[in-house]
Amino acid sequence: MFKKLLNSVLGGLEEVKDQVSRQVAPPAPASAPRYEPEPEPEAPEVEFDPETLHGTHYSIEEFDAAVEYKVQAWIAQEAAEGTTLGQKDVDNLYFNFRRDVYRAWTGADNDQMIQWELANSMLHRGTATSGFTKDDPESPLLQPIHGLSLKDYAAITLKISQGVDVGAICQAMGIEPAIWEECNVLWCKRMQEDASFTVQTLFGQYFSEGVSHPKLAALQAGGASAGNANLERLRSDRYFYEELCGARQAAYEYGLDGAQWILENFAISLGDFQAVAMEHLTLQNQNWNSEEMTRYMDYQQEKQKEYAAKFAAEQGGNIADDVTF
Amino acid sequence: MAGLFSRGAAAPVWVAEMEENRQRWFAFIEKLEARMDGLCTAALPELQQVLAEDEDAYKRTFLRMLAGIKGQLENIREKIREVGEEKVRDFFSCHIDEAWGSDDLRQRLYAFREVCTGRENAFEERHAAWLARLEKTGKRDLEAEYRSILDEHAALRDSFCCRQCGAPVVVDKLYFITSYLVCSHCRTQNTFEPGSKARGLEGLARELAEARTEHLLAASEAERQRDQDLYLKIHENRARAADSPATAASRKAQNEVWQKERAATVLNAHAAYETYLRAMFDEWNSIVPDLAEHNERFYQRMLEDYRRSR
Amino acid sequence: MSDSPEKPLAFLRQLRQKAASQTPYGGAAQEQSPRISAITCPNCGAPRAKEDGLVRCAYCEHAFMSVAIGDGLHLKKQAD
Repeated sequence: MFKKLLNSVLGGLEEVKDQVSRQVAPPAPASAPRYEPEPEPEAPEVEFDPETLHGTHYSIEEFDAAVEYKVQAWIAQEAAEGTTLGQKDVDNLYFNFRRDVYRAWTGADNDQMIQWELANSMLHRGTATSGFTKDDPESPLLQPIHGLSLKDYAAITLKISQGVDVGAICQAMGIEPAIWEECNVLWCKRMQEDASFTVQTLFGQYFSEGVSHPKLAALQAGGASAGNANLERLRSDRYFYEELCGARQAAYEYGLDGAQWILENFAISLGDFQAVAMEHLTLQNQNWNSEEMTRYMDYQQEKQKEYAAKFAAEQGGNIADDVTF
Repeated sequence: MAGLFSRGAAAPVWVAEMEENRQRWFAFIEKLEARMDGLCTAALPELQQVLAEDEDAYKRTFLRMLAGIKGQLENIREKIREVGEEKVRDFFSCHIDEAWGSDDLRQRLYAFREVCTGRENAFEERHAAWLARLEKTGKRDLEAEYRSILDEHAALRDSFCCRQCGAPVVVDKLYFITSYLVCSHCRTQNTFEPGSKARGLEGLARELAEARTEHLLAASEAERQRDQDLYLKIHENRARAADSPATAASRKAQNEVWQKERAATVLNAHAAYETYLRAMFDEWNSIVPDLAEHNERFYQRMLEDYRRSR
Repeated sequence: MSDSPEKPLAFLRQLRQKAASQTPYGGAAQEQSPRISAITCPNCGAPRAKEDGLVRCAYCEHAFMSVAIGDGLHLKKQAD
């Protein structure tokens, strides 16, 4: 399995050497001959499969075999020293050796490696990740309940959290409250049963798509149109989203109902806010960038402090404002 | 380099600053602790009163007030963290290279960091204790709430009539969601909508089940704690230098006894947790029998998760 | 704010007032009493009867609902 990679590296090296030898060397000075070190060969650019994020210069079977070899070797070594590893320890071995082999075979940096782990979380750890989870029509956990699919359920939940009347929703969906309430209980139960978090993850993905449900798109809560400009900004401007996250948290810490404060000041419902949160989370998973994430977190904290100062001023300050170092 | 700052040589200027930082740090935290204590002491009876008067079904007035108080504690905590970052941790980092050359200075700088961190940790413990007491003010009497639901059901179960023919329709069990009830006379499907109290049954069931079995969870945690204590004993025993071969042998023998105890304790902890889990789900199923089939699948998942994680 | 004991009390009174005067998100929770109702077919006026299922009127086939009932919590799969 290493042969392929090694051959491509050596092949590249030969080509570079040819190029170097054909270059016209600058005229040497009259004094002692100059030492010209050989240029470093450029590492061949790795191409990645868009879905699995594995390198295309090896197969997944080769990768898994390399990892398996390392894991079994470690287990054997531990056994020879009298140690029997538990399942948790073996899981950790797979986790760490997968990382080692991936980095060695692709030259991936940390962000790329994490992105690859997220894309393969179901395969490697049996857990779903938002942005990489697909519906499975055969899965018993994803079968409709009383004709309502998980997508339907997510769309209804979004509308309720936007403030739309449940009766109107039921009418639009062609059901009655008894049906809706059973679905509401049973979809939650499916999430509890599901150790892979697929139901929960897909619910989150669908929740953020909920506004486009054909039967419910026309239903709006009162005053919803007033928030559309802010809502669009929340969606398109990540910094604005982080600002409002910080503001909402600060509101809660000052005894305000944060969700209500957002609604009163920006006309954005909690449901819409959380749907946008899911969109940003999904995009983040699909474009993992730790530097960017740190910038967003720092910005949110900065804004939380600003809003906290504002709320503190409204209440006459904090109880320990006068205590300084 | 050990004797760089030998006796008689003047200490660097930052040494005096370090001592001043230490004194001011202790005074700073003490003042903030006094504010925290004052606020929390006054808050406890206030919170209990607000909870009692809160007519909202979800007690949101109480929760908002609690959040506001916790926010003030967080404000104090953040102040300490920020000052600690500058006056303790950054101060240490700025001077450790210089101090490295002198045993005396290095030890003093490390001691400064240790004692200041210790004081901060003591604050954190105090803060955590207050948080626990504040949270406790909102503790629900779940048994009373459950009894109230059962009492309401008992009082109302025979008081409904079919909307088509007027014959009695018995609400045969505790429905917590809208359900269809068939009239035994005319076979009409009536729609029964439970009241707010009964609708709360599903929400309180798990918490009530956990409360009823918390003594079993505590037994599992006691075993874990015992395991931790034994681990520390073994570790301390190994770290102490033996003054004779006999002492070393005696300590080794003691450690072997403790290791065996640890192995047994770990097994006990696992068994106790699984006993707790089964008992908790049994209680949950007894409170909401309609969900038993679904809860069993949840139980299997939790059991597998636990066995995989240990 | 000094360490005087009145200060935390004044702060708490203000916080309590603020907490009590707010509208919670979604509005105040409405207390609901249990009740029973029955619908009749909007098309022919017949009551909805058990043997013919929940989703269609036994007399005129009017659709009360546009979904098929499966095996749920209290509801079980309806015969076609």
